Amino acid sequence: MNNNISGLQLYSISIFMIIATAILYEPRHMIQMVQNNAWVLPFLSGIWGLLFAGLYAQLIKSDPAGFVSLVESLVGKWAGRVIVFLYLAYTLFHCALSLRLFTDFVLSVVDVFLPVSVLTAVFLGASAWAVRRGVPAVARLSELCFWGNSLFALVILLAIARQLDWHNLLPVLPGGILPLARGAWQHAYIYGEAFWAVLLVPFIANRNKAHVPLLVSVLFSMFWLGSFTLFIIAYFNHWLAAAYTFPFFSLVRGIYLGEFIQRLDILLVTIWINNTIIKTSVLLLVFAHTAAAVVHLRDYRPLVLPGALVVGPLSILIFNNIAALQQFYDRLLYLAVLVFTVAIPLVLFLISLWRRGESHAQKTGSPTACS
Amino acid sequence: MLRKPAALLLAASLCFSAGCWDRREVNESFIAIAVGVDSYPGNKLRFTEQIPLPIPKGKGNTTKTEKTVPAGPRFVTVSTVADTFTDGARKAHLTTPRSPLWQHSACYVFGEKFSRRGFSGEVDWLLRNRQIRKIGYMFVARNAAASEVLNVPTEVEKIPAVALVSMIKTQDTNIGIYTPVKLGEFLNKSITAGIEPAVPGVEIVDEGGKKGLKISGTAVFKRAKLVGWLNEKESRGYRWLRPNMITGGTKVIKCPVCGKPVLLETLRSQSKIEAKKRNGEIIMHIKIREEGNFYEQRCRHPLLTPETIPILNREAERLIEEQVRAAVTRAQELDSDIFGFGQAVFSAYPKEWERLAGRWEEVFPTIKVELEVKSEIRRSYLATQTLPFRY
Amino acid sequence: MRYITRKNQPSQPLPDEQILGQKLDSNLQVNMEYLEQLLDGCSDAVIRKFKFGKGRDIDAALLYFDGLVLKTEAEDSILRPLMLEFDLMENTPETKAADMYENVKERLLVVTDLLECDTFDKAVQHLASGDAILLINGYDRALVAGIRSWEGRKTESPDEEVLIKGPKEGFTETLRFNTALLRRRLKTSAFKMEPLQIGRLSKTNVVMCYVKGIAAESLVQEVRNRLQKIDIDAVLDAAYLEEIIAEHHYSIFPQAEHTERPDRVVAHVLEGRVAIMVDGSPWVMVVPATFPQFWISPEDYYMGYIPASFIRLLRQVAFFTALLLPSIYVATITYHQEMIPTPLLLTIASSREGVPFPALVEAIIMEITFEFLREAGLRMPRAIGPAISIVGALVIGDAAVAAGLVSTPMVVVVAFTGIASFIFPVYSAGIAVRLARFPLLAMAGFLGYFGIMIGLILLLVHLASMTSFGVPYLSPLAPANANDSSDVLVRRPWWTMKQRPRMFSPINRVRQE
Repeated sequence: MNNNISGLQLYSISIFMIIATAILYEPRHMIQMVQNNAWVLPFLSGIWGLLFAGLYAQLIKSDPAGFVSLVESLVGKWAGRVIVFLYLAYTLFHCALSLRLFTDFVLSVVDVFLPVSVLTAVFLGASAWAVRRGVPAVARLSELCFWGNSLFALVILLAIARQLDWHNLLPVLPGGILPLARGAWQHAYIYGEAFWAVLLVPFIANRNKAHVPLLVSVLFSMFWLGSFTLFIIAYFNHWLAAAYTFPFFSLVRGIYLGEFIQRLDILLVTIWINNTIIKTSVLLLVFAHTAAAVVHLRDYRPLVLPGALVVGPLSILIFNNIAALQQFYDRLLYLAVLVFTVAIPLVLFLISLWRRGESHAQKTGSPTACS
Repeated sequence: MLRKPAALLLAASLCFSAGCWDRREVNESFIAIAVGVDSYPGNKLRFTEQIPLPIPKGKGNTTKTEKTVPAGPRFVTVSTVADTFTDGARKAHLTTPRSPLWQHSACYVFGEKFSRRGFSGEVDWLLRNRQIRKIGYMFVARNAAASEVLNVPTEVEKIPAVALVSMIKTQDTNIGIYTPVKLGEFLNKSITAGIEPAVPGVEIVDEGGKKGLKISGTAVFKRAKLVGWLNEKESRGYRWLRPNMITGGTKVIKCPVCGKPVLLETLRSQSKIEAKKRNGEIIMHIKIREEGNFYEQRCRHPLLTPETIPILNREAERLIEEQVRAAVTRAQELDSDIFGFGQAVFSAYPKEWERLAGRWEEVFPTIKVELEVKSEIRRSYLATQTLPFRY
Repeated sequence: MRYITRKNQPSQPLPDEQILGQKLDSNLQVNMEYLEQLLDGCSDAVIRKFKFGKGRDIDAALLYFDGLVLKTEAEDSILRPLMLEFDLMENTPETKAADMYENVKERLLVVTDLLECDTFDKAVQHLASGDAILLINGYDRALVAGIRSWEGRKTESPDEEVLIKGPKEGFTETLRFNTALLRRRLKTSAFKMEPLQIGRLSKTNVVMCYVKGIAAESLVQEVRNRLQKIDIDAVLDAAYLEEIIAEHHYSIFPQAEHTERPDRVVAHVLEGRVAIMVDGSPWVMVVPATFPQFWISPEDYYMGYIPASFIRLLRQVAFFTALLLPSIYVATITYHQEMIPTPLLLTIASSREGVPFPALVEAIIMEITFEFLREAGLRMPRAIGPAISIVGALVIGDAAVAAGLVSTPMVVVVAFTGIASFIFPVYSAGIAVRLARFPLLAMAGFLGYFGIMIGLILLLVHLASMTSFGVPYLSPLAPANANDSSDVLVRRPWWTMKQRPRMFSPINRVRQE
């Protein structure tokens, strides 16, 4: 009874998947795109996010046995294998990417001389260990971290609120609605990351009600991303915000409430370590679990370490420098994520609808055939 | 079952062999409490940092509360000349045995020459450096170099940087002439279209051979270049137009009966700058809401009556208007939009702004300003009358 | 304490095992030979051979261990009736028809607690547990008279779990006292006390207490199974059992709660847990244990819910202080100096002037010194207590600082941590925190806050992956449960506690209507 992912845990995993790296890099990207109206983007793209969440809830409902069997039953065994392998590869890549985004942050602002290999090894080691301790451990960890992070994030928002200059938000819509709409679509991919929760289907406790935690997590991510972006713009104005690599970090460094309450960087570092460790753990878990389902292993644990051994070097070698990383993040990432988390699942969902319609027609047709 | 101990051993050895890359003990470093920036002949830069000396620990019985304060200055100043600031800062290691902690820089001083030459492109370092916090206060050394300012010992507060920060903060709430500016705001305004930074100046005063620091004037920047100074009255005017709420400050008006000075204290004041269109022409509509207390009078007229208070209020409003106009006039003379009129236009008429942005320098000096000041006296501390002298 | 068994050398059977397996003989002579052989070398065994019955001279023997039975009781209720009153009884018409043994058992012995046994094994067991054994020639059974009464400690207020308010009674070493203490608090037949015997040599009486109809059947069965599987020579305290039946053998965190307070046991049992009492130890073990319960004191429920909540929050702060303060201090002054306000940093810097060690080493030295002092203070004879505290105060507080070995802020930090680690209402949880502090300190020294966070996350994962008898160790925090979680971080008012905690899946959930 206790070994399944409860609704709250699904919610927290999903919100971590959505927010973890987005909160680091996304505000800059959005501000560069639509300047001072960037804070509207998370809300607009959240509308897409809600649709995605609905789609994922349908997928979770449609096959309790898991993603692999769903894909294989829908498109046939071999085509299914190909798709699942693509997913496995992408999951590893995404895990490496999330890790890299985080290590670059740590090495830019916290520990500069730390060799990237040590950082990656420590981090991946912790994640892999968490995953090996089992699904409940990861789920409970995410649940606990969720409370901690929410508290810290609220403290940050309250502490900075006094220093904001709301004039920076004006004027509303300098360039019309069109760039916003385009940006909304481009940034919808943030919410697509909740898809990895779908790959944990066999562990989810209440599959028929999975839409509630998923939708709520999208709503809360909208709130957090939106308010953080809003605060960043109101604090710096969009010219300066776009110049910073990690505007949110710079925002927190600017907190000044009297002589004593002015150095809250640590809260932020805490939030990000939590975020990233849960994201990498979930991705590793998804990889190991899915791969185990493909090769019909009963226990996924032996596959965690190989996964981590691929992710580690990949995350170090993937980009040479921060510019390459930013370019990839700004131009390509959203396409990749959208393909894997929205396009393919949508196609699968449509196929399953069509199949169901077909089988339904057969069922209604069968009595006449018998008689 | 040797796998667990082996993994632990591996983790431990990783930690130990790898060492501690970013470790820095506090007794192997010093606090760079102030950073000064100057230009230097030959297109070089002079970097200055001020370091408070640690208080030597009392020897022997530590339970005694007495502390012997060592004589002489409690700080040292290190100056280096180099091609870039970071280079300069690193060169300081050649003369100082410890490495600096810039996280605690409370004060940044730009030399006047450096400011006049223009710092556009040269302060990239301030943005990118991960140690520098943008909540330190900005100053411009008036008629001096930053390195000179940071070398002047101060009384009471023995570390000049701390003294400077304390001075700019306390004068803001007590007399209210200059506007404290943090490094972050300064950088922010420097790069934002439609607003320019103005920074309080600090000058070296010489009183009978004893040097001291004094906050004096407000440096007006334009296109990242110092273009001129606001005097005390104009600085007060600039302070009234600050977008966030003002607390504290004084206003000296004239007694409506005899013309002797009367001092009113400002408790809080809020201004709002709005761009409006009158007959197709953009004007600035400035609203100031101010309230305060009656503090001091030099004459013996009964000034706190329901009849006289409105008169005093009008006087105060006139004074504020006068100061604001002086500031606006001076800024228009210098052609530097330190009040953010351009921003006001941008937020009210973004289309107009697109047209005007390119020639804002021509437009700004011609902008008309409408003032709407509302001042209120609320209370008068312990007495509503003056001392009843019989003579 | 187990017998050391080597693979190549089969373990020796215990002596006397052959005799023990046998049944009692009807011939007293034979029985006595065997018993004397068994009790050879047991100087505390009393064997009283006597004869009774006018004209019949029946041989009989009374055996007991001296000190375990009440001598007067043995004389008054066994010897006197047999030796003096047997003949009076024999004369009545009802008794004439009956068997002599039955007469002795049913009409003569003035003992409430009278049993029979027919093997040597049982007989010796009863003897050793403090019963008296009566053997009568001609019968292959022994009468077991429960007149045990040894001197035990009187019930006192517990030393380890001190409360200001609430009941002052504590458990003692005597199992029967302890069960009585519990029974007096739960006057219902649904409160079950299942007896078990554990320990090949010690034959320790162990009692499993639970409330039938509240505790989940599966939980009771699981506890029973695990207890029955134990094979050990002796059980001296419930803590022996904890280590054997707990699920996670590598954890430093306590996986059962040990308490000396009957009120606490009753409160736990009413939540659907199972208490395990061991004869000879005043510590009663309660399973399953969850981590959050270690900052809950029974006193929380004896005072108003607002002060109780405040104190509970205080304990949580103390928990994090005891766990993290030294590492945060080390990480801050060696990696993240910007976190300290400037004036404070100047003070710290000047007090660290001339200290030869890095902050990490300094912290470890001081922490270990503090642990020395604490352990010494705990173990030493009372009379030299003041000496240790003087040395401690001088060494840590003053001399080390004056000699420039450590800095003053570090002393403050260590003192703070020490005080905070004393706040836990459960001693074993305090030890776990004290231990967990050192790896975190090392991580802080090597990687700064980042290291602390990684360490904390590893700790959390460890805690989150643990279960105690199937109950997640971190419940009701994770997995969260609205009903249970509301009485963890703060104390919930009594009038709102309508339901029992769900984490132990009690059969009956309703606490009050």
